[in-house]
Amino acid sequence: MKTIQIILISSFFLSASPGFAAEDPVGELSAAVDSVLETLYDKDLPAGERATALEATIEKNFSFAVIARRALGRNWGILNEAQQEEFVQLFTDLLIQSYSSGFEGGEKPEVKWTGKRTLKEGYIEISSEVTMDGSTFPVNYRMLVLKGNWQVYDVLVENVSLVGNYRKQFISMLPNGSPKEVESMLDTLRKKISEN
Amino acid sequence: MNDKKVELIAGTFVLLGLVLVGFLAFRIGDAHLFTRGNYTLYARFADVGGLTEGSKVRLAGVSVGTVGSITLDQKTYRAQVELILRPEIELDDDTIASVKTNGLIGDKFVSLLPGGSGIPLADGDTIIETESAVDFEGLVSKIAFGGVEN
Repeated sequence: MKTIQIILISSFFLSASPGFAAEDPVGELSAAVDSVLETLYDKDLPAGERATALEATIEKNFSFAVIARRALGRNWGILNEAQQEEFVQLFTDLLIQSYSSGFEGGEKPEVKWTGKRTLKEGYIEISSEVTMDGSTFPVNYRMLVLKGNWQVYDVLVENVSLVGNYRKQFISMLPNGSPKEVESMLDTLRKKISEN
Repeated sequence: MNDKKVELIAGTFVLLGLVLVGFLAFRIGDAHLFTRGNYTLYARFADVGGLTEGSKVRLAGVSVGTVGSITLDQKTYRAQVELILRPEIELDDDTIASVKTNGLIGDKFVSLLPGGSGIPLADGDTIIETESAVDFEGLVSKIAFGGVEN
């Protein structure tokens, strides 16, 4: 009995070890994207539970802390620690909310994985083609190694970066970087999330 | 004697004219003959869509440098773009470089969105976060004509 326990525990740690997880980032990402699509197009899942289910599915392969920090860019440093923590949470909720709604009905898109290239050491881009409602468009995932796992830190749809899109919006929301602007930016996010 | 004087004056004028023409050519071509201390970064794009040598590099809409050479990477068939930047512009490694257009059909330029990673890019480094030129004709045709099945 003890031997079985040891095997089980060690296999758990092995699967979570850096070398093991980083071997096949394309396979891991495609499995993650598949389960995201399953969740989004699960007709039996109540709309209210979709966001929670989605968050649980993607948190392993998407680093929201890095995405949020990159989306703020230079303005990250003007937030204090408590504000940074709240911002990461709000931004994560915002992303999950925006992507968990708007997919109801329709055909589940088809994803074709087209390649992987190294951007620099520890950074890769995995490209795919998504066919949805009859039209095909490129979706590229940029990933970095974080705590031994490949994690997505940016997504490019039709060559437009998600991080870049939000960075532009935050730059215009914080033109002077004053504490008042930071508070009003956080407030806008809080309101947006509570509306849904 | 008199002829020689006339020739000398004419020669001086021609020389002066040539120098001025040369100077103007450099100014119009936006070559930085007398500026020193600039540094170079590189960026790779899947498509630069008509960006040319000498195009502007902008940050917050302000010109902060120019595009140097644009070459094709023979291995990956991606465009490698040299960005010549003013020395006071310090950028972090999560800076995003995008190929943009002035209006819908205007000149192409490179736009920089500074990051905040705290890891600075040094002379000769490569910006890995890039957005290629958006293919407007492609997008319009997708919207206008839809897909095969619809």
